[in-house]
Amino acid sequence: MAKINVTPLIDVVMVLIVFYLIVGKLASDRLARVELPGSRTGKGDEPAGALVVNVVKHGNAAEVVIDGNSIGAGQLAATLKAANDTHPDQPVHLRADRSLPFSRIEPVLQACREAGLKSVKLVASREGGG
Amino acid sequence: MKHAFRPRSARAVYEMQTGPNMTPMVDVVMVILIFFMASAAFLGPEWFLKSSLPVRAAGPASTEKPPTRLTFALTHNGGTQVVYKIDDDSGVPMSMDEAHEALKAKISGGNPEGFIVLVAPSPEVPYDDVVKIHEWAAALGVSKVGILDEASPPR
Repeated sequence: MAKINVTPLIDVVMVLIVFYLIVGKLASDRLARVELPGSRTGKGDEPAGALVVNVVKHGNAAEVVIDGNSIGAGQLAATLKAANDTHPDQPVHLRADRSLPFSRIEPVLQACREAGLKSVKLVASREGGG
Repeated sequence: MKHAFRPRSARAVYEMQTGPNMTPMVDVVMVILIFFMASAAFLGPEWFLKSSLPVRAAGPASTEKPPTRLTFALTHNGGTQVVYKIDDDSGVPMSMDEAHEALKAKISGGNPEGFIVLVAPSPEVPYDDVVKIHEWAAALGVSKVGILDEASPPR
């Protein structure tokens, strides 16, 4: 009696699992509703594994989102310090809304400094000519 | 008398008539294609502009010539205005476009490594304008760019 060949089924399921794992990780990092500032130049080949700090605009307020979790102003420095202690060479990418006033970005930069970071990478969307 | 030729199997006859089975290859190529299309959409085209976080610290006196500090103090009142300072001078007020030209004029023809570009925005300045100065500096080859805020060294 012929048996059902399950190999194609396993192939498809494996591809779907890997796909959703990758998309899920990217989605939490990068799909926060942030309208990035534009830039015609910059460095484009950043290695994976950066800590992505999103600063999302909500009217006149801003919300800091890391790994899909909203981080309160008081916890930001501690969160960044914990990440920096665990992975000292991990770059930090700051994805902030272009229309936010600097007063909403400044606390994030101060938290980065308190966490012992020497620099951050400002993320911008590529515009023509780059 | 035995057969002179081996009889062809059904598979051999099928392949002879239709060519190799392309279905598995098309399956794999389609999956790869969709994967890269989806990845490109999520990864998006982004640039990364390095920004230093200056701290107040005492260090040993250096005998080398320190880099020239170009400071852009930004204020926003309707539009963004710039006060452009070279090292510790009193600064010249100008528009963003004029500041861009001034930066280009200062760095073009010189060694970009001999300059530090500092952005000192006031709280109401849009973040977009802060990034713009980073972009100008990066385009001119300046690698030392930083943002000054209230906790930074004196402006």
